[in-house]
Amino acid sequence: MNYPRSLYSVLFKILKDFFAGFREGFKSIGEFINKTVVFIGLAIVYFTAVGVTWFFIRISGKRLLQTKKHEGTYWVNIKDRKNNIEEYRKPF
Amino acid sequence: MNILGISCFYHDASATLIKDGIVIAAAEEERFSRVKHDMRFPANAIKYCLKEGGIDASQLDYIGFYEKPLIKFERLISQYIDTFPKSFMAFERSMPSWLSEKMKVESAIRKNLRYKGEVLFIDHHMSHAASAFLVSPFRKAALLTADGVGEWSTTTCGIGENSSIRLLKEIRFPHSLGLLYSTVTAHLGFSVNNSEYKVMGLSAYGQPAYHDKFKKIIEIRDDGSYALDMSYFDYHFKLSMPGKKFLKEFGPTRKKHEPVEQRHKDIAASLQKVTEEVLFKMLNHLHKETKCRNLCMAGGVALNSVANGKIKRNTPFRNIWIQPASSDAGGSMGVAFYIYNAILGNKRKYALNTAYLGPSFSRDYIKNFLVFRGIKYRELENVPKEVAKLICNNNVVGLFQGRMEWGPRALGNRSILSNPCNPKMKEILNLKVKHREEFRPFAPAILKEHVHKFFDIDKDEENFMLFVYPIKESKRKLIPAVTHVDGTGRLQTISRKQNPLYYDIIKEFGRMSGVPVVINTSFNIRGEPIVCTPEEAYKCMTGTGIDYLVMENFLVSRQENKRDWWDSEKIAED
Repeated sequence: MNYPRSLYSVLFKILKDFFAGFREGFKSIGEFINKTVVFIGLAIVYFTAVGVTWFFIRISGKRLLQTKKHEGTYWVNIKDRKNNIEEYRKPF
Repeated sequence: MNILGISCFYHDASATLIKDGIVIAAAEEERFSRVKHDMRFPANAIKYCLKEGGIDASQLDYIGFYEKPLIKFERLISQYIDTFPKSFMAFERSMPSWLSEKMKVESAIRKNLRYKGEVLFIDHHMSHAASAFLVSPFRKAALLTADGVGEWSTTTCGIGENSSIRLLKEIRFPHSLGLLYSTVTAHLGFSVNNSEYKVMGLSAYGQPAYHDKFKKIIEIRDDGSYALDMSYFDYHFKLSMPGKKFLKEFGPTRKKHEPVEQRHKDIAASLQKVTEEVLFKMLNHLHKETKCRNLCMAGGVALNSVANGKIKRNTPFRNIWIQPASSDAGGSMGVAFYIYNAILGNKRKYALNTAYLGPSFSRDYIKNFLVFRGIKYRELENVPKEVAKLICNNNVVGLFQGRMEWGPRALGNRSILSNPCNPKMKEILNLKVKHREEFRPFAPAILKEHVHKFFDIDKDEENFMLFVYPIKESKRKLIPAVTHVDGTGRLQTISRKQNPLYYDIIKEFGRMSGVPVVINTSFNIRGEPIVCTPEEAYKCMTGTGIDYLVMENFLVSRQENKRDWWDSEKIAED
């Protein structure tokens, strides 16, 4: 009487392990696809939006980071912010 | 009025709660999450602060965030555009976290706390400046903040008067004294945003042989303003920091497990010299502009205790106050006070004279923990006397009491204490507990009334371990374990008012040994944050070679609890 019950439990365990592995495998594949899609998406944004902006900024002769040496001080004066609570509600 | 300050999403996330202009609680997230320099939303630290204040989020009048995230994002995008196409990998790595959380700070706050009130955003360096000035003992002071980078600023100077702060000038990214220090930290094989203090410790062993080479990569004006030659650096477009030209000039990057050679020591010494040169020039210029004798500093660079100890000798400033949590963690305190004092115009009524602002655990809690876990312990009748005796006998003692410290230093409530008179104690501590690099010094804690006998110090007290001073030559042989190779020590002075038990232990030790000084090092497993709870303190003791643990008046011996021993070195990481 015990024999069939243990057979079922062994079969059940095999199937359970199989599906657990199956789920894990799918999860890894899902993560891989997610990373790939994000990578491709960001690459498109980078080489179009960032690249095009870089191109126009370069032909206009501007630099966004001030890396060139110059005479005089490197201190930059800070403009006074209005001490108005509205100013601080903005994250920018 | 309740105000919660928050800093997070870069490194050292933290929360501070103030009530009517007085600090109720402040803590770094890492102490709860057990992830060193944890940068995630400080949900645990906030939960603790609200619990300490006996309120929930709906009773907060304001929440302040320590920077303007969209201006920071603009700076990042500017970097990527300016350095296109070299910046692709950095762009690809950073964008997901920006798009998923860093740009949505307000919704993260509202969602996590179910909060419907006001959320205010203060500039990063203004938060630093406020964290130093608005809790300082000064009514008027010159202000200097310097770190890696905030939004665009990397260094600012300004002036504070009563409840207001005005930042006058700034140095903008990519020029950064903090990032120069971090670049060299990476080049010397240490972890960035974590091990800069190791480079500072190493500098005492070297000669500034590379000073001229550093002068090629940083141009310093007489007014202290400076610019880096960015052809030596990669950090503005890459995840690594030193550039090829830097490596050509200073040699290859040291790998983590390679030995520290004289070249590395000389590079560290040269960097320290350049840092001090810039700092003192900036401060002299700041003094000229503000005519103040008081100075407040914050930002990661303000944790350079070697430079801090030389400020009075090299500038006209006579009184200096530095925020003990000067890294980004301090931003949460700064933003809370900036809202209360500068924006809402309330008068200042608080000066931060203690770092004990974190969680505490009652005697009953500790006893229940010991009993429940079946830990062998005994109750001490005279804690100072018995602990001093243990220290005198060259034992390593963990001291756990009262509220946890705010900031990176253990100041007597989550500290490991030992005997500074034993010349081998540095080795013993390293062997048993710390497993540190040999060149790193241990810090002395001394009774306030004896400080002038042992140190060439230009003030009467140093509560927060933020300044390094020379130890008097005649005393160096008395306390060899805390005398650094250049004869200095990063001291903490203790008064009874400040910390009665800690004071009494050192006083008793002084009576027994003739030296009112102990070694004080942070209570943690290597690479982990300082312990927060009694459970963590016990785990730290059983996993390391700490001989005894004192929690309030309970004494736990490592030898008597062998069943709980484990090897912390298996999990330790720098």
